[in-house]
Amino acid sequence: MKRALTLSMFVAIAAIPVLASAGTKSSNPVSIDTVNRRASGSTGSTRNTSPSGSYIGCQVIASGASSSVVCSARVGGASPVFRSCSSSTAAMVTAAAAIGTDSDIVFYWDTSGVCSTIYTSNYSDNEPKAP
Amino acid sequence: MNGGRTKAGRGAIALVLVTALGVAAGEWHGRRHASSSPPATEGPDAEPATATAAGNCEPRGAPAANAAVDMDALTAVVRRAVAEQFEASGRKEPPTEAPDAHGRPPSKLAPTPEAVAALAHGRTVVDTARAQGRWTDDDAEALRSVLPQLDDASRDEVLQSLTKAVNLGELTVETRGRLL
Repeated sequence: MKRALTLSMFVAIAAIPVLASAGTKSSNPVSIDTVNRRASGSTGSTRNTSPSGSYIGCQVIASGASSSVVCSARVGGASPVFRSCSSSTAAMVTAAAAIGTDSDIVFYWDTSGVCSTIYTSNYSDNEPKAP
Repeated sequence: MNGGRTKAGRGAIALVLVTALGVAAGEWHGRRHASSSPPATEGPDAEPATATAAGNCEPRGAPAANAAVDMDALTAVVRRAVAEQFEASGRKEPPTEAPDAHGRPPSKLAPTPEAVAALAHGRTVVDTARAQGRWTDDDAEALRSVLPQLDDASRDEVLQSLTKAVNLGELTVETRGRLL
């Protein structure tokens, strides 16, 4: 009994430096602000923790020399909310094309459904997708 | 049909502008040169041989006043030449080619019948869905098949009519996943 206690204490003490050196980890499930016309969330957190039916993302449509982007976000649950925007502006397409597997995304839209701003963040603290 | 005539007209306008600029520049240079040169004769109107300190602050031959006059003259010359050119080409005023909502210049080419048909199809897909109040996987698939045939402006129009309808709640998104 005494030996087991000593062993567990040793393991706990040994683990402290490992835990202390871990980087920042954040969770940012999808949310939609309909008043300010803003949707945000990381793909990993949304997939892992949001209500069923939630998602956020952008898709790039390229055809020949032209391209467009469509961004969509949905908060699932009993009263789902869905918002979307599109744009063919090169800057918007570039921002959307930078979205990676575990990116954090923020997009704004105007009253015409046009994407006015797209933020793409690929930081280390973004939550990765669980299987 | 009109392309050759328009091109010739633009070329003539460019020629007139260049000529006008050359004449105006020459005139300006001449005036500047005259004002900075010493007077040829001594007389009541001649410049003093020694300038005051204040006078020395003024760079000799500063073209500010002359430039203003010349710009007015130049503007008048250019306006007259452009007006004459357009009158000669049978146009009442220069063509206006306003950029689209995204600041892109308008397309010079007329849309092909296929592009017109694709745009009509895209509009129909969205309008039909709006009438039914639902956006389904079939609608998404139908629109995906049309989008590659559209130019930027047409694709913007169709996609924005869709996203606007969704955001206004005119469409309930019933796709299994994303919008498209």
